[in-house]
Amino acid sequence: MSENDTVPSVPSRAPGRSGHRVIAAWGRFLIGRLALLVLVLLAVSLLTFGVTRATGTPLYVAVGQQATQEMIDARAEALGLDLPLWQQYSNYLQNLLRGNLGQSRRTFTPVSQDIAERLPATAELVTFSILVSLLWALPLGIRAARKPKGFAARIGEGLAQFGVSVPGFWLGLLLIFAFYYLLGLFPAPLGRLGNVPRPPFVTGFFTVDALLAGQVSTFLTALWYLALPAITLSFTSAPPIFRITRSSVSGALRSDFVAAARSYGIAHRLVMRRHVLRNAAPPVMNLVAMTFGYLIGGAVLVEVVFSWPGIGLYAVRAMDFSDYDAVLGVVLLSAVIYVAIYFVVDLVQYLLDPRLREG
Amino acid sequence: MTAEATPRSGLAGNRRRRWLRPPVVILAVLVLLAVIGPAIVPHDPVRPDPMNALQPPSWQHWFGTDNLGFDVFSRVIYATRVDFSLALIAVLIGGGIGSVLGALAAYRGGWLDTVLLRVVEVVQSFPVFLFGIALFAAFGDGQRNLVIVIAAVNLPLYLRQIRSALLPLRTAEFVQAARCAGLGPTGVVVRHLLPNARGQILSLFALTCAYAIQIIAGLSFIGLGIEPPFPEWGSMINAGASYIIQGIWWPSVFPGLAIVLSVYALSGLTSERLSSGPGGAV
Repeated sequence: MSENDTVPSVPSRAPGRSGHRVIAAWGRFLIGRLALLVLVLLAVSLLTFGVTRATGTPLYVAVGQQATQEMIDARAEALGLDLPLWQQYSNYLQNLLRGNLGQSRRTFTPVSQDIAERLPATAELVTFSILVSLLWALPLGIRAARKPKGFAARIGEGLAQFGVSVPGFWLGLLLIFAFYYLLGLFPAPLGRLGNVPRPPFVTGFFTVDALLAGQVSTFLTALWYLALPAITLSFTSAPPIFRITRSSVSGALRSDFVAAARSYGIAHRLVMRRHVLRNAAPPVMNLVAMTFGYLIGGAVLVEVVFSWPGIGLYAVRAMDFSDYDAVLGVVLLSAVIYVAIYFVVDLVQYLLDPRLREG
Repeated sequence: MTAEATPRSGLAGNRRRRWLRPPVVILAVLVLLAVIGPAIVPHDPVRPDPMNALQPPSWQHWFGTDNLGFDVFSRVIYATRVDFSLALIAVLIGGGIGSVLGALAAYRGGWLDTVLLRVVEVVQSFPVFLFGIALFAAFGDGQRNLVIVIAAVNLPLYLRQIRSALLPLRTAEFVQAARCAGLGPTGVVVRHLLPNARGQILSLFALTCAYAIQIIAGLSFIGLGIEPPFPEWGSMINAGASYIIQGIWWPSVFPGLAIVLSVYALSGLTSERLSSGPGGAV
């Protein structure tokens, strides 16, 4: 696919339009989007700040059983809770910018550190689940666009419908029952590696780290543990990818430039590769990127089912302990990742598609 | 009620076949169960029977019993009412407010439109379940807050859809005529604009009810919203989840099937799809 993400074939730039002005337009676009990004991030932080305030601060827990009103007041002052709200918010923001998300009441470590340890697990799961969905959603989507009534179209639509109607966490349990209990093909749903020692840390992806360290058996074990949760999660991510591939490819197939290419007598495979797929790729890539951003915080239930030690499981466990700093840290981070990916997708789209620049 | 959504939501086929399609039939059965189910269940859904815990399906207990000896069949049936009514209330609240705000945004435009869209964008940048968890952290657990969470998740969907559907009608002649006749913004929106989005609202209603059932089940699965002994599909799946690796499948499988049937029936009513963002998120 990598050769396809170049600029789609479009008419050359309008005459009289200097490179200078193009750069100016590009700068304006970038500044506008950056301003929007900052605004959205501020609003996101305002929301989590609001929740922090609403959860209240059980100061008596921090002070102890013999708390007097003076001790509670002193504690509140030390935490800055006697300040006006806007000042508390500005302190909160300053802490966020320093990467300080508070301390976990459950693990007694800084939340940012806890999250940093668990994020690779979630990222690895999400990456593999998207790879699994691409494996079937792309070929079926392309076939379905070419033959809308064909076998591939029906299978793809059936799988998509299945993925949309079946709750992921329940599907995970079914897969555990079938492939762990009945068939014994996959390991018990207990994390990433069982009791195999972890590979030396490089990326945090156990599969990649194991390969880097040359530990093939660890790599295979990591894949083995990944398989069921990744397949489960792929049923969530695949349906939209299948559907957008189908509609995007069928749109390209109906376009004039494909008819023109055909009429020149260009071979079918070449038309598909050079004209159809290349033009159909951008929306699909956008969706894949967005899906990745979304699933980082959207894999919660699958992580719970498979005891996958990612940020979602961390948030749910924290919720059981009323460990709100940890919960909100995860919430904030996943929203920020999603917004940031949205921003990048927007920029890339602007760079790739000259029509947006001309408009 | 939702079955009435079909004729208006752009489906082909003649009248008779339309009413006999599987989703409509399944939905009718489910609604019937929600209404009369609690009266006909063979066992008390909340009376534990520890002597008969984890019994496989039999004549006595059609769907077996769970870890506390509850009759799974009775609970699945009883929970139909719980899940359907919670979803219905939440979607009515969220969808009602969202539709009116969406129509208002389309009609007034300007800063109101911009602000509403930005707010919605921010809310939608949180993954659904984490957003729910955060709201539970703020407002505490319980069914009332579950309804608030589901309503808050659905509101943006309606706001966006209705806004974009009504935007082209903003300068339509009948709208101007209504305005010239002296009708205020609320009157124009409620009496003249919203009826034009009736088809979309009904389609969206069926889809968001399906979506709501999935979120309710998902949140209860991680122990939020509904107190465990109370029958609800998600919390039932959770109760059976830790036994699945011992091969005890029935406490989790049957409530899950009920969710799948409901979602299939509701989303099968219309040919449209929910475009809530990547994944649909469950």
